[in-house]
Amino acid sequence: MRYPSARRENLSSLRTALRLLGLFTIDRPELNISKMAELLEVGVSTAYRLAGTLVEEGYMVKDPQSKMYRLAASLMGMGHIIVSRTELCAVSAGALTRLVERSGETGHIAVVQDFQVIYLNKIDGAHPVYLMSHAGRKLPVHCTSSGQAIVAFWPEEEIERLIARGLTPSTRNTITDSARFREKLRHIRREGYALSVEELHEGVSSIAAPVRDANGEVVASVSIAGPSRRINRMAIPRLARLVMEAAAEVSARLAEARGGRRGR
Amino acid sequence: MFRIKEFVSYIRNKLRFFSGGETELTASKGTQTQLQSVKNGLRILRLYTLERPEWGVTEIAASLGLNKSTASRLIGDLCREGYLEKNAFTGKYKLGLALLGLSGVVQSTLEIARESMDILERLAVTLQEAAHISIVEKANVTYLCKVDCKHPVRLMSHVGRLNPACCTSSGKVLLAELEEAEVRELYADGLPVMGPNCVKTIGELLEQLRIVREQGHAVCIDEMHEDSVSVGAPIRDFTGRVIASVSVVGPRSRVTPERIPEFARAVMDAGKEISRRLGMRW
Repeated sequence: MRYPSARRENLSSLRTALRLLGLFTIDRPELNISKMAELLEVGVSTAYRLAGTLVEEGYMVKDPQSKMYRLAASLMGMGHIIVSRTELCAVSAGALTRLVERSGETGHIAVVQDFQVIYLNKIDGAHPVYLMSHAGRKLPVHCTSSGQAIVAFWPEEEIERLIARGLTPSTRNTITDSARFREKLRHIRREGYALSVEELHEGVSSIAAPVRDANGEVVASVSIAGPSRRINRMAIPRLARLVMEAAAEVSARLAEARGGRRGR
Repeated sequence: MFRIKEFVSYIRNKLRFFSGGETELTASKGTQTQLQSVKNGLRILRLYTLERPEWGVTEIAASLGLNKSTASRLIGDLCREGYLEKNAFTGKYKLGLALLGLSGVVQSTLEIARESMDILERLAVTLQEAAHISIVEKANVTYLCKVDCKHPVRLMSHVGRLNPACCTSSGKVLLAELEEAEVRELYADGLPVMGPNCVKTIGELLEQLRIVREQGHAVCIDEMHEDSVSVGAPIRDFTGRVIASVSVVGPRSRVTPERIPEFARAVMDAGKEISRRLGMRW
């Protein structure tokens, strides 16, 4: 993912520093100064000073030998605070664990923010595959089942805004045609679940179902993902039922928990 | 109040400038102010704890000694980048999902945690106490993973929690690998005061670290806080370098002096087994 130029946007130093942290991803866990400068489109000296401050404040560590920087492990503490204090994570943990046990596949609970899917929680299945997913991972909404299961229930004009942003392909199976995309969303509303056969990653399929809050509004999705050879035509009806049951359970727990209490 | 603090920090920066720190010499005064706001922004995020997951602007400003308008500006920046979120019902701020992304990246790239979970589980079951894997960043240990014990009375610890390295067995094991000068530099501003039995002087700490190296494990009794005993041993990578530590923590009533040798043996064995998986050859 490409970040907009920090310099062109005339961002504050703090925002540039925060974007620097955001450069680290699961497939890019280490960076050197010149790479940071290049990706942020700032000068090397700026990147150097910001990196130094981030190290000083305990957000990054520098390997003295390789001169590479990586995120500090103590950031997991902050992740832990978010997960434990996020209502959706708390109420979905039981249902998600059972879904993973029954299906044998990796389970996620996700929300959509700024046209991106964010996994709030991930539980590995019995036969974990290296899916490159983790809690907090952001992915495009239009080519993930977890995104589609939420977007399908958006108001029409929001769906059109998403389409207008462009349906960028990730694989040969990504739906890039707007008419076909609208048709798929209709299908999801009818069936109650979304199926992605290799729309994001070759060889990986996923099934997602919407989670509704006490007012009946779709706020999240529950999904499973695994290799297409296991999530195949024969298995899909059973797996889809399991996913929909789990999503219904989370919706019910969410409605209970909201009895007077408010928050995320 | 904040004016005095700002003045002190201004003078301090000036002094650092004249003492000739490399970055200070190249950085202009404007850059210093900008970096100060980066620091303050990052410190806002560090205020958050499990016990206190929401903060208001006034509380943040007061805790960090900032004036309210500065705090608001920094909070605005943190919100725009997804690091804080406003709770519409309380009007206070909570940590944003951008941070969850960072912690996820860290977690999934940590090989040690993945490679050692079953060994850690076995250790916790054998000794009936909570077991951890930790690493050191600067003068703090961070728990990478943890297996709880079955006892109803447990000590408070969680993944990602920071503790001072010099009063935990997991931290001492890691500090024991450093050169004396490095240890002295880490504690140039003195040692943190924690439990009743914590190390008071740098000389005492260096002596303890020497014993840790000799024995291959560390024992801490009431150093972190009252009524906690921890036993830790090193985890080495294939080059033999200590990269993490494994430790077990419990109350004095269960981790008695008579049982410490048994704990030390089990913890050292677990450390060696994890090291072997990471490619260490003994």
